[in-house]
Amino acid sequence: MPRTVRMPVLIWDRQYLREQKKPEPSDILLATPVEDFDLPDDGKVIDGPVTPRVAVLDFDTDTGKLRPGARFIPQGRGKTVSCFDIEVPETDDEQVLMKAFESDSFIQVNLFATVMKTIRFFESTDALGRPVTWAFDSQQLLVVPRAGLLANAFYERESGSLQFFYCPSSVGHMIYTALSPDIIVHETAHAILDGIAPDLYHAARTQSIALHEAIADLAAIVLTLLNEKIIFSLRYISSGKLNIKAALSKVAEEFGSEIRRDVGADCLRVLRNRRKLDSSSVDLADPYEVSEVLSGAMYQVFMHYANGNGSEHPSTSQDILKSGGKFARLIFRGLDYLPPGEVSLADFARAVIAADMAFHGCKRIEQQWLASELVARKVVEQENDLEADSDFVGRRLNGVRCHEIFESDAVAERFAEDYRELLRIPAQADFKVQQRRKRIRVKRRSKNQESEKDLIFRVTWDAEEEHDLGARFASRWAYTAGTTLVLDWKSRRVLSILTANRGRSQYADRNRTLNNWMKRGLLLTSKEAVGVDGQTRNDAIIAKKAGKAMRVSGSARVLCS
Amino acid sequence: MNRLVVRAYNVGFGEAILVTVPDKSNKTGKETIRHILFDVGNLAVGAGSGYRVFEPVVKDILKRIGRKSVDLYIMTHEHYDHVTGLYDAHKRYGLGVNLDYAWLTASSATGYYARHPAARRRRDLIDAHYRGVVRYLATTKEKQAKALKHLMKNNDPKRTRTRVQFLKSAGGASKHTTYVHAAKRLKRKIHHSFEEARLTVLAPEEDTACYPLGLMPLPLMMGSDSITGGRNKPYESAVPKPPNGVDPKAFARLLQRRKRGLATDILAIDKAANNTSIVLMLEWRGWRLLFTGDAEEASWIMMERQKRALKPVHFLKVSHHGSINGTPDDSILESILPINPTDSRERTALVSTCPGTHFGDIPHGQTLKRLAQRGVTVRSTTEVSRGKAVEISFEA
Repeated sequence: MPRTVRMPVLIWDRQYLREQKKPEPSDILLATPVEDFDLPDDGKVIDGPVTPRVAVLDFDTDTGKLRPGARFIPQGRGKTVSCFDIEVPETDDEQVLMKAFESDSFIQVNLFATVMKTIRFFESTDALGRPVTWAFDSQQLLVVPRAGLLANAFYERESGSLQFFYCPSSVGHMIYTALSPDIIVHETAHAILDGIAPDLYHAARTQSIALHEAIADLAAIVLTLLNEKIIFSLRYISSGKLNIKAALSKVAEEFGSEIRRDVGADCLRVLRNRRKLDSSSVDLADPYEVSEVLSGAMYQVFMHYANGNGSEHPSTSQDILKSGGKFARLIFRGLDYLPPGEVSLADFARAVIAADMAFHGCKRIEQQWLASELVARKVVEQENDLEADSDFVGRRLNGVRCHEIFESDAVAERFAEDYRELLRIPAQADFKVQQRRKRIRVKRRSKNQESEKDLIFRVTWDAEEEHDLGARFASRWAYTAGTTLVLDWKSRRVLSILTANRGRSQYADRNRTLNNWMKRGLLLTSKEAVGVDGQTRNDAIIAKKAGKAMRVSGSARVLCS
Repeated sequence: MNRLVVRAYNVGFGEAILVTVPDKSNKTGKETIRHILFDVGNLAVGAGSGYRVFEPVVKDILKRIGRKSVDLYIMTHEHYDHVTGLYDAHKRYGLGVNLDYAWLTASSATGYYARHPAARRRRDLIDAHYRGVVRYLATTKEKQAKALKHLMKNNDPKRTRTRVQFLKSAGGASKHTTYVHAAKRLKRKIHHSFEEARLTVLAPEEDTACYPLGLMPLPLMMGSDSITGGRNKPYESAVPKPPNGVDPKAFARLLQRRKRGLATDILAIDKAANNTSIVLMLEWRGWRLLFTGDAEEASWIMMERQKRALKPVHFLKVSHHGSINGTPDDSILESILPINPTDSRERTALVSTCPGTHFGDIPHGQTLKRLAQRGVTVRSTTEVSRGKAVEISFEA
């Protein structure tokens, strides 16, 4: 038996504890919103919890001290399961459960376990099929469960951390964002996506930032859809009356219903929506609203999976679970196929379709679902716009050695120079080859599984365009563009080649975004961004000098406020 | 008298503006000289005796109004640098100014937060954060930037409350106090005495929760103690050490980053109050004058969004002492100071400011340049010595 660390995790929002019909006493186990999460024990888990990859730092913001971390209890002789010193009572008494969930050790362990669960999902062959890496200069993601009094939670690259705040609810209890499974998964997904597509953090486009938000929301929903206990329990508790697919499309119920109480909302966001990429439907400069266009379109694809025809009739729990799995694979396998630079919602859809083609070697109905959904939502004008250059079934890059490109920067740069045209690097442009990635591609064919390796090769270069933002700023603005090439490691077949779209719509998005930030006082030059303490302000989006042009830095901070 | 006169006093870092308006009766045609007084206050940056300037300023105001009452007093918003002058002049020098009508920003009304729960939550959050920063600054041994201290003083609710309370009653001298916002219908004889001159309030919105708060703190002292203002637990001024297994560099970077949020927090709190500023359009015999208090970007955006009457003006009181965040972007600026003026009358922008403070680039050079580039004459209270006034006239 492999050695594991067993930890309790909250699997659904505490709001359900307050709202749903109470189960019979014999069904307590089913109704308690906690399950065990087993993390393979590599012998590196210690009190905190702290591991080389994730460390929980529970500051007491009233005193400035660190609270003691949860105590790790290694497995006894002859046993294989370790745990933390923590107890979750088996009861349906709301008050008792609430108290237990708000204990220091539960908050710390639940947060750590949910972060690890999210990381492990992304590393699985259902998603990236490779280890997750961070965009910041440390191997360890710092996680602060009670960062202070504020209705917020965020990932911040500058401090390499996830920070979860808390706020009093209107009825008196404290809402801890670190106790919301959706919020934890969402913020962890931001950190993971930053490692996958670091250029989004400094993008000058609303759509690029919206993509961050949409992926994070989708991750929260997918981890719910993949959870057997949630799906079976929801159906049971609601006696089959609940429209489960509608309920599952809600993100962060407890927190959302509190901070959006004035508008009568019962959650932070609903993925089951009809938002379009059109100014009559969303504020095109608001990344949250724009994100709902993509997450809404993707959720509709899940509805197709669950129903076959998108009808409202309830599916069985098994249908929902199976659909969740297919949905997860469709979305998250595409992430590594995403081109570098300032990508759009349509670029992401192209990556999803390209990855699906690569994994299955053919066009599939879900690609059609996604394409027609995105046309209906005005993300693209026609379905053909989403066709990726992945139809290279017969083509091989002869003479290319994937392992050499993977291992050697010099070989990788030579490869980029030799294949400049294929990689769409503009003539004369200086380019930068990014760290190569190797991923496992698992094909499921009936009962057998075949696994193959992909080389993911990304190259970036600077592009410039003109935006008149007045005398404070330069008229030329630099941004990152690039191409992602995916090669089958063994055959050297081109599985996908995607370059961020560079049409008029991209220019319009950037122009709108820059003007909006300037108008709101968020976009500042480096000099203007110096705060009253003489340090650069945390809340500013900085227009940095890049030669004669300017370049946006830290724009993802708009998702922090 | 056939001219409207704006007198802006050099009070240091603050604001005091007296507007003298010849106001004809619609019925009799008889002209009455009326006065509008804005704010009066300063931050007393540096000297510690900044109140002294209020003696000559208030004496001059009393002289100009002929020792009668000010027809309309306007407290634009609850910031120390805008509210302290009349209080200090009264307490320290026995100089009382009688006010016929007083307009105070809506959110300063007693019971305002009971009527506006979203604004209440926002206020609680602001107060909690302010208290948290106070606790941190009181216990840390680190040297703090002077600008941060001044900003703390300007946003100190206790210190400001006494002054605002004084203005609410205007030393017991105001006949009518009204808490105004953009949607409030303001009527003659009930809310003011002007007949010929037209007064329109463009901001703030009644429910201040509509303005984004923009708090993005990474605070050290924002725990549950800050909700109650309690000092239940002593703050540990020693920097915590990284626990076993935690990357020390990453840990230090996190602490550093959280500390930096302190200044960002205070700035957000400052913005929140600025955006409650009363923005007033005064129209008189073809002239349009716009008085803006310290309104920042979010207030301008809201005025534009709510389709408030942002018309071309001949006079703009440059908002927020000429800070970068007080003047709107070109798209909004074009509606009040178009590059091609709508008539041939001269246009003036006035900034009440105090360069050389710890706040850095105030007034913001580029902002004043942007105004000048629109063919506007830019005037400043710094043209005259402390206690004196810049005078701008508008002939009928």
